[in-house]
Amino acid sequence: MNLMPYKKVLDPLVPLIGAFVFVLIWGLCTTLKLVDPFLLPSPLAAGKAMWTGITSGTLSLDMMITIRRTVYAFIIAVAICVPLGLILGSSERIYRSCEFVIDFFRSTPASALFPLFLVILGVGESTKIAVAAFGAGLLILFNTAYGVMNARKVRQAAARVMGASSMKILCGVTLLESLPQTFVGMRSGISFSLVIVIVAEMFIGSTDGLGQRVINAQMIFNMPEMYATIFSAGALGYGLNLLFILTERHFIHWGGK
Amino acid sequence: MNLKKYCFIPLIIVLLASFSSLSMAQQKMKMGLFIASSALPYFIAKERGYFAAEGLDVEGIPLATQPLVVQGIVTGDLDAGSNLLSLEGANINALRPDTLKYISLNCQNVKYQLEAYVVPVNSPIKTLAELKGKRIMSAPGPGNLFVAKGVLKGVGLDEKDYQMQEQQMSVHIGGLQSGQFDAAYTLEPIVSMMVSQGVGRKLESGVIAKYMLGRPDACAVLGGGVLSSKFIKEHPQAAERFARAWSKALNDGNNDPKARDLLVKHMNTSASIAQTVPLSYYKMARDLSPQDIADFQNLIDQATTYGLVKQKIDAKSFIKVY
Repeated sequence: MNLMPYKKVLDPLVPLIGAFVFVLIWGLCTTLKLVDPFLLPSPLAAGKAMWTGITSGTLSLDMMITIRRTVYAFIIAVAICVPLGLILGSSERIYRSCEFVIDFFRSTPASALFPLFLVILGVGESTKIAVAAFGAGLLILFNTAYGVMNARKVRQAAARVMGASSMKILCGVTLLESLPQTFVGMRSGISFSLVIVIVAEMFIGSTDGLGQRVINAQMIFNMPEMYATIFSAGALGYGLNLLFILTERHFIHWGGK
Repeated sequence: MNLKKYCFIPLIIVLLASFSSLSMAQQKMKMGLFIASSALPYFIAKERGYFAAEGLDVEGIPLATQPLVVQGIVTGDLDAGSNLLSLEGANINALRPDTLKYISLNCQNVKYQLEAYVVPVNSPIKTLAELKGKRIMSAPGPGNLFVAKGVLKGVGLDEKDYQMQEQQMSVHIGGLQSGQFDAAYTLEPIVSMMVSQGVGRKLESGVIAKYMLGRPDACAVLGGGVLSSKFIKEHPQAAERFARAWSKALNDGNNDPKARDLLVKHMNTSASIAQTVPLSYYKMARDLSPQDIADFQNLIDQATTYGLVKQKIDAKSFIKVY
């Protein structure tokens, strides 16, 4: 019996197996009451809360606000840190002089810097975006600089032999060579931005956004809504990651070749 | 012969010690603490030996938010809570009946001022009604927002009349000082710190009792000491002993100024304001008057109408008298 046709049809469903098993285990935990059902609602109840949130527009609105903050933070991080990474990476000596500061702040949880950002920028919208941009920016900077430093020397030498100027080598060879690593930084950066924006919405104080929705649902024990929001945030992170992978495949097709 | 006799002596001592330690075995309890001045009775009872005198070994577990205290009680990890918000308690009992019982309640009003509207020290605003059109920050969480808005409703301001944003307590002083907000609905000890540092001026305090309950001396119950219903059922005698120790601690909290030293030691209160910072008035459930209970019910009913407490609940159903 030839199973190939079935295999072809079922192949796209393979990534869903993990999600299915997860929901199954969750459902079993609630059915068997392994965890108090008040604290852990069934997947059905959480799904229903998610549907209600989406159809009523409140969840979608909070999601859009969180996306907006994340995108702003990401754009700021990219605009500042990609050019900076290129400059730092093009000279190992300059990079080494800044390496301690970059690694120090990269190892410091961005959320621990909330008080500092609050002092500088106050309690408004800008603080949430700035902290997220700061955390994401360091990831992008680090990866861009390493992408430049690890660019294949043979290609750079070949361009130099062919008479290309330093600027042309930087833009035409080194930049393209560093892009796969830069994209790795950008992909991590956008996920990190999302995490920090949600944490900021939870703890800096906000009237909207997914983080604020999670904390408010927890405060009034609306557990289905809390889990619905948590999974919406997860789905958003997954979607952003997927978008980046597709973009990377499309534009950085020479990566690793 | 003598040698044998001497060998028995240590054995007898060891046996006696074992029996005595068995008879003295203390009932272990875990109590969720939300570190604020209202957690004071726990530290009084612990440090002054009131728990130990009743044969209780109570371990305080600090938790960052009130829902985590409730969650600990629901899962059975916690047996008690030192200062659980009353609306959190009402809500959990409405959603999951008989989860916990309040054995004591903390009253705040114009005499026991724990909450206040504060404005920058040079602000021209003189009354709450003048907050119309202003930017106001509130203590965080749906419960604080509910009372902050409820007070303004009491002076005739609708939600459309002002902009209110919740902010973590740690940024209240900076938010008022920087001019980003025209006023703050904030809590002690931040109120005292704002005043002592010259950042803010009290516009009005004890506002919940006055504007939401209609009487300046009403008992606005925003928190209290709780025991889990499970613990009460499984260890009724230990629960009674706990209530005895708790009662002594509440009495000290109300009447002994020296107890305030514990605010500095355990509750992040600066020594300069520890002796003057207002505290709520602690009452064991047995000391509540019918009016106090009616005030409590009134606040819960308003929270139910607002949507904070999910369904109507009788306050008496989750108060336990010892």
